[in-house]
Amino acid sequence: MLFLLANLFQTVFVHADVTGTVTIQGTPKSKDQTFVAAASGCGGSRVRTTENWKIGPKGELADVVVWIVDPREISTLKSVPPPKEIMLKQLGCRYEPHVAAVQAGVPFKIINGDPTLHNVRAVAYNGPGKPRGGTLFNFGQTYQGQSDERQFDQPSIVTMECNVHSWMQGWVRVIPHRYFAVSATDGTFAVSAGALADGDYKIDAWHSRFAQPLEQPLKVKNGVAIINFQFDGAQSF
Amino acid sequence: MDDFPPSTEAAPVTSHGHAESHGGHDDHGHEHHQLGFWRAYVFSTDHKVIGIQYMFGGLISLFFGFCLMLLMRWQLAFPNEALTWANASGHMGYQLDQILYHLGLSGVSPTIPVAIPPDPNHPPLLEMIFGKDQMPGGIMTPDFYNTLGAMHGTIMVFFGIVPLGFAAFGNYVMPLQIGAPDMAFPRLNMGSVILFYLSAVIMFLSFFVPGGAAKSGWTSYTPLATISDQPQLITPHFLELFNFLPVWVTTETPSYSGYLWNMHLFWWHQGTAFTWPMWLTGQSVWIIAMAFNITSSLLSSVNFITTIVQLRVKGMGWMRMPFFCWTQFVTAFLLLLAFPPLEAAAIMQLMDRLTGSSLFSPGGLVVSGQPLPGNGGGSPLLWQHLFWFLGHPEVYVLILPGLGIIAEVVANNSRKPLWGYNYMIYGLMVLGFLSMIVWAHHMYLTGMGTAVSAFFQFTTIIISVPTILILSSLIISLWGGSIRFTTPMLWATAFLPLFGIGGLTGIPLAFNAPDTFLHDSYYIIAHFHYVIAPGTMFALFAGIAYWYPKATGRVMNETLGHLHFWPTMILMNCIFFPMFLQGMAGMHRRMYDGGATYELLNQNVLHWNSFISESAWLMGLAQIPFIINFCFSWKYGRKVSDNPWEATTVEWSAPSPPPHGNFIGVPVVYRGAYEYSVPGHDKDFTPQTEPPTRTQPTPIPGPMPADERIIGLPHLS
Repeated sequence: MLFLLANLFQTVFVHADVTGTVTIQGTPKSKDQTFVAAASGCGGSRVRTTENWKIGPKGELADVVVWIVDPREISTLKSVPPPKEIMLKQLGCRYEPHVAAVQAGVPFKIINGDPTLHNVRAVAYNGPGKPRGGTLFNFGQTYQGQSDERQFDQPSIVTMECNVHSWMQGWVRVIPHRYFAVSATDGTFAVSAGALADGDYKIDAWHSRFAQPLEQPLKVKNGVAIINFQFDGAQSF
Repeated sequence: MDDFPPSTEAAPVTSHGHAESHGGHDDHGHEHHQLGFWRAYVFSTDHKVIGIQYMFGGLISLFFGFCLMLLMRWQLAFPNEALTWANASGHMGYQLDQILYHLGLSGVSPTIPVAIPPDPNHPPLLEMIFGKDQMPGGIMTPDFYNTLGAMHGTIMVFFGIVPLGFAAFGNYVMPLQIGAPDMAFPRLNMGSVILFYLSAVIMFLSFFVPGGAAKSGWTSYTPLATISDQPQLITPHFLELFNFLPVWVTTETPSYSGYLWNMHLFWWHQGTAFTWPMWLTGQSVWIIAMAFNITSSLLSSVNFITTIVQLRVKGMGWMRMPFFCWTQFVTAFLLLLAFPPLEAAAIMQLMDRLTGSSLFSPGGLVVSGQPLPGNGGGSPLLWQHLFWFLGHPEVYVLILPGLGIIAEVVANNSRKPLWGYNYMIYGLMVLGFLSMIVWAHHMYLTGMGTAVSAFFQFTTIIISVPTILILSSLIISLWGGSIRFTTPMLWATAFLPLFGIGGLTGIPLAFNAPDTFLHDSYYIIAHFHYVIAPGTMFALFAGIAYWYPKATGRVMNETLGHLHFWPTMILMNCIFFPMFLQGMAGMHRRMYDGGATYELLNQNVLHWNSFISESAWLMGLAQIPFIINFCFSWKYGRKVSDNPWEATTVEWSAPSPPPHGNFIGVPVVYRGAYEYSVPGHDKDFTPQTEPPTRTQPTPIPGPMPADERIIGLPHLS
């Protein structure tokens, strides 16, 4: 009885997270490239760079998707909290955020923040060196402020593209559950534990310029865990 | 109408040899020999068999290209609805209820049917045919819409109209009209038709390669065409049986990083998945098919020019040649001069795709967020120039044979010589020349300089002069004639005003100011379809009905001909006229949902989408009488004499169908091509091959402006 009450208390009142920092060691094999992107309605500078690497002064690595593998949820009377609302904005003819994670089967918003036409094409990504997959959806957003909802049904990696502004690229990692996060510019991440049961897990971290995700063991106690990832730049492409 | 042309059932024509019965008979000193099936009908060197082969290939392509358009029209009328029988019958029922309601036969106003979502457990037929990537659940993806648009244009132009107008009619009729026993290079002719069929098979099969067929438009503009249709990762289920095979390639090459990757000739094994190589993807296959198609056209054009120059029968002076042969002559020159640059450009584009040669790709190209390596220095504008250097003469390649057919039909059925025959020919030659220097009017929006723009505006306006001259001559030829409204003549009389609409609506597009607004709008679609659909295609239908008795010895059924003509003529206008309105309202031709999601567009024109689509589907049904007529008349049509239309040109002096070698004896030409209603003659036509009698004026070899001698100006009084 006490055990059940403790779990209920944890589910309802405790906002416990799995947190940590992602860093990169060494120098990545590739560098961001500069290019000219000329188009009206995009604002900002015409000279842009690719957004593959966002590395802080101490090697903090942004845009890393972190998720818990096969999470187990507490079986309580309380319903689990609703999934986070994810928004993918097209702002200045780039995707904001550049890397997002969404839950499979859960709709997320795609918003056109620019005073110009964008089309949103989602293409399955098969990994480096492999041909691209099929188009999952492709639709037009014609005016500033237009918002549409879409969802991905299967766990996968998806690139978002605009064929009007071909330099635009965003990444979406589709996770089968809600226990994920994306690292910020300082490399930190926080996976909202929600109804995660205590115990031993594995936790993965994926970056778009690494072929394979990093995986580590994770021990969750009272819905809290701290874990750090360190990518090896030599393994990148 | 069934009384004309007169039947020969009572006394069937048996005096002349038929190709099938003679199996290679001729009277030109050749050996009398029987040909086997393959040599007689498949690998034949006889221009008539080759003409018929082109005819069937062209008609099948037309039908296929038409069906692609019908699919597109569904998406435009009912965006993102599954194309299933349930939804289609729902819309059909709604339209019928609407008609009943407006007629007062039903008191209940019908409600718009709700789209029934696809059943994932029972994939619709179109998903099974085109695959889940193209038509998931029967819903057309935007990419597949692009594929349909590109392939509709390509197939209709290069595999439908040109093979019919130029190759089929040219091969069958032209040698007969100039009195030749065959083409100058029969084996080259056979090679040409083989290449055509090869290109058609390759093009049609490209629908079924992973990733689908080409989707960069029929113009294949770079850089889109250079980067589209990348290699595909496929996992055919049967390959799982071969998992024991060693992994052939294990290198992990990032996407777009190396063009050597694209050069893989065969499938690239990756565990259970295989990479479909770049050279077999839709856009590459499109280029390869086009290379074969262009080669075929080039061989034909050389053959046509040589035949017309060298094989005209005795007495067939240049100005006695039927106008149809003149159109074929000029068309052959256009093909000969304009197609090679496109063939070269196509191979260059293929190199861009496969080897990264960057002939057309500009520097700094960024695709999917990543700069393309190895690109730069190429000019996309160069591709446009090379394409349209063919593209605009190609417009006249489509039109000129049609004009030639119409001229023959009009002269024959109005029982008058062509008015202004000489000037029509001069106009034709000027037209051919000018068509080579107007191409950049398709490219005003590329930002060309004002001097260049002014030049092309000037030449484009000038080219309307010979066009209008020819069209006016045809219209004036009707004046005062004893017009017989046979089926060919119905098509011809419909052709004249409708082609006129197509031509006149092109004039605003010749100026870059209005073109800036109208470019890539539905106005363009309406304009060029009025030129080609009720223009050239009506001429093709006229030509089929007109020369059918020559090819088969039987005439097509007139009733079925009328049943084909009237609905087609009305529905053709229902399809294309509203597009002018949509285009002027700003509706863009590339909108795959018909503009439904574009709220800035004037919504008042979107309701035309379903009207146009329904007209198109009904027009599809209206082709059934033609198909029945074409097939059944071959065997069951009324037998007629060798010259059922009482025509003057040389082909009608040959047996029907003409034997190998074409003529019984070598014909001699004594007069011009259109000696109709000559005063003092007992009949209203005098064949070119009929020797002069004492009562007839002695023909003089050389130019004979028959129109001036006999009729002169139209009877304007």
